Amino acid sequence: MLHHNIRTLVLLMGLAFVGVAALVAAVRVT
Amino acid sequence: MKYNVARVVPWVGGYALLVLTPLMLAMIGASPAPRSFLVEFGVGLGFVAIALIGLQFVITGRFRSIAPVFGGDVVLQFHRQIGIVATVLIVAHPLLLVIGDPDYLEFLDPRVNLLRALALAAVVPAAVLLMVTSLWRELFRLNYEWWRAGHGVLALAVVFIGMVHGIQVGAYLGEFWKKGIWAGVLCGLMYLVIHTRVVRPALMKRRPYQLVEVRREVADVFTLVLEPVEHVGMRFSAGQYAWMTVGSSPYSMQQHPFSFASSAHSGELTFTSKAVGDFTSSWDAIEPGERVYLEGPFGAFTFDPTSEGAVFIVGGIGVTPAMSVLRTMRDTDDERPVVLVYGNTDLDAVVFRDELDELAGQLDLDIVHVLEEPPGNWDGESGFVDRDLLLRVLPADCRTYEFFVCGPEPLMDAAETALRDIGVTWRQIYTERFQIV
Repeated sequence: MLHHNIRTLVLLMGLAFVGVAALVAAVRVT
Repeated sequence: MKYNVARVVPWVGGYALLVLTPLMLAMIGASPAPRSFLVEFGVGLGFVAIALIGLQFVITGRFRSIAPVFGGDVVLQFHRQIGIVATVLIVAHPLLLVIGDPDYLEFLDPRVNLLRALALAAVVPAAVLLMVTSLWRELFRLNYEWWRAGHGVLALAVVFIGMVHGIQVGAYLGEFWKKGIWAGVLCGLMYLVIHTRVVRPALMKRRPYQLVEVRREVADVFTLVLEPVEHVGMRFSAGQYAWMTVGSSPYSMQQHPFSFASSAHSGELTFTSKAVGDFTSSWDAIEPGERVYLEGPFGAFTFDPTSEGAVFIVGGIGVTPAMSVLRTMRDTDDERPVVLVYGNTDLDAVVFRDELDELAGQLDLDIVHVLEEPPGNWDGESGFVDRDLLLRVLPADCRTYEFFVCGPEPLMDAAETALRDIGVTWRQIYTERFQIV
């Protein structure tokens, strides 16, 4: 597995985690 | 070893689920009246950040069930990259809260709660320090042992303050059962540190090794020959590595990873290293008879028995795991084709030169030496191991082989690009770095 693959995987995961946190927050305030 | 999607997906999916578990747990049951979006978002990021930091203890706990799936290098690269994400989220958490509602500045007011203000004022800089000292350890001229001790202490402080902060605020963790789970996880993480730093060295103490010989290979490259003391030793696969501690105590912070250089079938146990760091520079001064402790084996830099062939792209002392594989192939009469692209500064720096020539006669092995400063009569490759060179020297029929890359950062980057360009997939590529921080 390449360094590049890991960076991409972590970036996607990071964005997904932030996205879920934002979604949860949006659901809470509506 | 062979990577495949079926082995990787459950681990990655399980990890993602664990990261989101605290956030989901917080949303179950009683929760406070909703505040602004920015505040709720900031709180959510705090839960994600604490999960990411907590799981770093699991990732770096050297559990043998994780390492064989991914290999030490992949796990370490993941740890490093996800650490950056966690730090960004730790910084974002208070920023979003204060932007969303400036009243949250009260958390940092020592007049309201001195201990809380001190802890929270310290935790964000501690997280940032944790990241920058790891990414740029050499720039800060931090000695490896001090960095390693500091990294553990800082990480523990960040996770401890973060989790206690979650319970203290209590907005989403007010119920007793939630506090119980939270405290249980915190205890679990503390135990992981105790396990790594106390229990595991205690187990290593029961299985000591003795240094029997220190061999100089070339100018600044030494081989340590070890033998087990009153036990059967360590069974490893060629290409793997172990964490080594030299001296009377296995509890020392001076524990470094080294690839096995010997054949996995010879019964001999050797490690070869270049005198580059504080630790390896002292290898020539280590006396035979010295106690050595090993933890391992780890790593997925191993030639799968079902693979058609292998290409090793190595630089300098990165040849060590390749040597272990080639020596093992010789001992097991393995006739599969192997290409070794081996970069060095000059001919005198080539480690194992004579033995490699011998191996080329015994195995189906093509060696491509690449010298930065070749001698006048050199008719081989010169310059650096870069993309153009790899595209030129790699045989056309190697696309189905396994690829092993070990060497300095520029060589690894060049190999990544070249291998992608010739259509090699991530499943066929194994990397090992000798400079981990």
